[in-house]
Amino acid sequence: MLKSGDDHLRGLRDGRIVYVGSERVDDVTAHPAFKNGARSIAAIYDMKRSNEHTDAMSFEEDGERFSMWYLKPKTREDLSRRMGAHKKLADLTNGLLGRSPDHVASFVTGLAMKPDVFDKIGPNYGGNLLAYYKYMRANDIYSAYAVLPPAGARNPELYEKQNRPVPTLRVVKEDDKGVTINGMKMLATGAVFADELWIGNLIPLAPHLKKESITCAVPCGAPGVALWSRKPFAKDATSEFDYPLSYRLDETDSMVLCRNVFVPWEKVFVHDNADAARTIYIDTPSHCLGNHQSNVRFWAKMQLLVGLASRICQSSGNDQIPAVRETLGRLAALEATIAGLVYGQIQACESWPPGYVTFNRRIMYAALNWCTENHSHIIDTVRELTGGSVFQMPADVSVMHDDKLREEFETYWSTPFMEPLDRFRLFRLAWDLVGSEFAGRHIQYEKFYAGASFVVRNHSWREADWAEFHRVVDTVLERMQVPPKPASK
Amino acid sequence: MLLTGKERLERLRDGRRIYLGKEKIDDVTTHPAFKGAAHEVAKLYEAKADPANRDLMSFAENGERYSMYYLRAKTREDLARRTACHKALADLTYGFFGRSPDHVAGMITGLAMKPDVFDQVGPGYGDNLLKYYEYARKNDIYPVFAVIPPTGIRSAEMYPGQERRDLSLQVVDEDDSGVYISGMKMLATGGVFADEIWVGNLTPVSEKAKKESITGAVPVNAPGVSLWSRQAYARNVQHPIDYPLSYRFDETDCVLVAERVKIPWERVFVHDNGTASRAIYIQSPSNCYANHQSNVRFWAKMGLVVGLASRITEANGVSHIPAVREQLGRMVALEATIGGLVRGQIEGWEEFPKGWACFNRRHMYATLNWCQEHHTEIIDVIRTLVGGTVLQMPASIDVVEDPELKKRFEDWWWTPSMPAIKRMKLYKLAWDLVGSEFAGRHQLYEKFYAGNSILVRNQSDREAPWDRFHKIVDDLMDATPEPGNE
Repeated sequence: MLKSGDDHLRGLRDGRIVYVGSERVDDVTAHPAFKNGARSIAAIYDMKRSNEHTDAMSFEEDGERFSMWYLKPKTREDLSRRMGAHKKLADLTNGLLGRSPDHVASFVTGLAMKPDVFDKIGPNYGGNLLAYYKYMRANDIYSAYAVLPPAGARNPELYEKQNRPVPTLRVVKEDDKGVTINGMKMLATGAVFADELWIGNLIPLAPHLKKESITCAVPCGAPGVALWSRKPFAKDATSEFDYPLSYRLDETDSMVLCRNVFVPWEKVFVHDNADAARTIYIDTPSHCLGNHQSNVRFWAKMQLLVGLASRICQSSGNDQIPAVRETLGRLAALEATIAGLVYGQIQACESWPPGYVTFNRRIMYAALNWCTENHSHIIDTVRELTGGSVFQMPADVSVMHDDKLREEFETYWSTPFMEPLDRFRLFRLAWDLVGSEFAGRHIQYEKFYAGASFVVRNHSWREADWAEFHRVVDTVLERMQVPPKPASK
Repeated sequence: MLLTGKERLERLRDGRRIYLGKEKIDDVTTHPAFKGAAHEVAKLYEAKADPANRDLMSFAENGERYSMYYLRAKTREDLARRTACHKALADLTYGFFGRSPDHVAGMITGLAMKPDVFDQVGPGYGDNLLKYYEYARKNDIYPVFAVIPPTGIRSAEMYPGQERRDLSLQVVDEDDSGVYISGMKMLATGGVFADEIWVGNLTPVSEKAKKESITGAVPVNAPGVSLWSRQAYARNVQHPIDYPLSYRFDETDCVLVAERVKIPWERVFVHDNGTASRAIYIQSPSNCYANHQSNVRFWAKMGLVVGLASRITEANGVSHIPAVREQLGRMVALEATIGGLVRGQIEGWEEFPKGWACFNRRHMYATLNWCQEHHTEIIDVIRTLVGGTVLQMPASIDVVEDPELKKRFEDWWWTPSMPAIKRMKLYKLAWDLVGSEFAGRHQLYEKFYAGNSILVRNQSDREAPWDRFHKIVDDLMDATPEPGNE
């Protein structure tokens, strides 16, 4: 099934509990902090099912159409189709939604390509996962995940010693029908706009933390679930003109608080197995398919940044200065770099697991590392090109509503290169990418969405073919023999 | 005279025209967008008027006391007194006020040490400046400046032949009593809280555009003056804990729009002289005194940055990890670097101009360059140490107003290293330094307050003793014999 945007919005009116500070939000599709974000998500669903995009955004199996990100790739061509759909979606949202509907869906699809990894946990878990995968694609589910314990709370003993409740989400009860979970998990980006939450663990758990290993799916509106949102940036965005990105593309981040939430057995995928809770993502294409979407999304964002950088330089006539052209050339080279890394993952695809193909994992992790390392610096370059002009613009577009101020604005703010209102528009967009709170969150997010740098680099370390690298160096070392002692004269 | 905080605030209720979007602000001392910072400015004057700070923040001359930043230094000791006062003021505002009252005051004081630079403009201008200096220190004036033409217009100069629309602030008329100026000038940082605006040019003005060379002093409330503020970051803050810096330390940036504003001749310092309009700052200690304050301010900011970095690692429970200690060690080394660069300017002081003392100009420009090059990276280190935790905090501290939410918050956000509300305070502070709109403005500001990197590096190029450096290399080459001449 391919949902419409309206279908999706209707699904969000499910009684979910969302807090913004002390305010309880009744309907995220109508609340000023979230309604435009919700519409941006709805627009993705409408685009996906429009005739124009059907082939690019969906595939057919057993006579039914499903969103492309549920495709289990069997050929290199399938990988290209997946990538193409990620790119179209990311282009629609300028790469500013990290956890768009294709992210967690790709994780689950990757798991469904190798369900036998669940055998080590016990019977049925693999079956549960396959059934959930089918349910998701059949209902075009948007899933968000909460897969990290709250920061600073990774050692429960320190809590128990002080007789305090351990905040980390865990199983507190189980019976014939399912498990009951209690506690907090972070950081459910996009959850406010999603149908379901995937609860699990992306970082290793100590072996004795079995009850925290719970991996399961929970509807966002399930009884006992509450989402505590960070400050939503659309809240104070006076208009789309003043904050063009904050206004409609704040994907939101929320803490997930569960109070005695019941999960039926068929939605439980890992239980009482600390090791499996994390390895399932790496022993299957799950982590690779999910993070490939992140690479493609970054590429879409780079295209916005490069275009903006050039327009900013044109607005002042600086685009003719050789040093400025050099900087623009460098930014364009960086855009082509991430594009090349994305294409390279397809060209060098792996036949894995049996019967399927996967993006080249080493190149995918290299791209993830590249994005994490370079984003701050790229934004700083755009900041430099933007210069102080952003501060010369009036506080907001309301000046255009006052005849006298409007006339003054149009007189004084004009330049030989660009009309004043166009400059105003351009620099508001620039500010929302380099300076606003939305921009600040993106700079923070791009550093941490895939984990801290040591986590990202560990993935590359793990996947590297060290034996081959060692062989290369050893062949040289072996040639280096101590020369025979010269014969004495 | 030393103004009190209360007097400072009273002076701001003078009918000035400030626009925030289309909203005209009637009283900056009570408007939610500005009152927090207005009171921080008042606190600087409170501190300065406090007898306990008498020797630190003021000096006596001819039986009257003046703010320390109006001191014309004669000795190294005087320079150290200026530095100490800048530091005390910057510490009170954590280095977030780039154009605090001591910045442009330093610039004017530097001019008053070499009034003969105005001789190139014509007779009388040097006296005008000296009288203005006397007036400013006597009335404890808070001056700010607008010394850059609007972007876009500036670059039009590079393309001769293209139609040029002269919207840059310039003299449009003059008569016996003074000149009349119209046009736009940027960027009057702090103008909202100041008494007077120094209009001038820190970038070169071509002789063809000499009407733009006008340099003069204009009261903020002068008829025809309006200030167009950028977005004010305190505007939407509901609770100071949510945005502790935006709420109190947004110094504001405004575009100055002048519509036939009259400047009486005695407040005109440069007129019809493009070269002099910029040269006066460099041929006197003016630019050095003003930017020394910027160096000291950055040092104060670094104190907050390193303290916060360390507290964050404690809160995240990682302060004992060797790699984290290495990072903290590097941060305090950077703090000591800027501290050393500030002290070095005093130790390496110059007698300039004759009979007066000036901070070492090369060290000062080197420091300016260092700050510009390092700020982004320093903030990025904090961002890395902060991690994702900032995004886990509830949208507002107002959760504690609801007893049920408060209990959940205190239970679930508590960590072994820190109770929940304290953590929230810490991470909201961190966010206001690395992620909020206030933080975004600071990251851009630190790149551009002294001009772009080309301008800043040109200053070092200009002051460098190239002859001495050339001699070193030439002597070395000369000492190397050519083949056949061994």
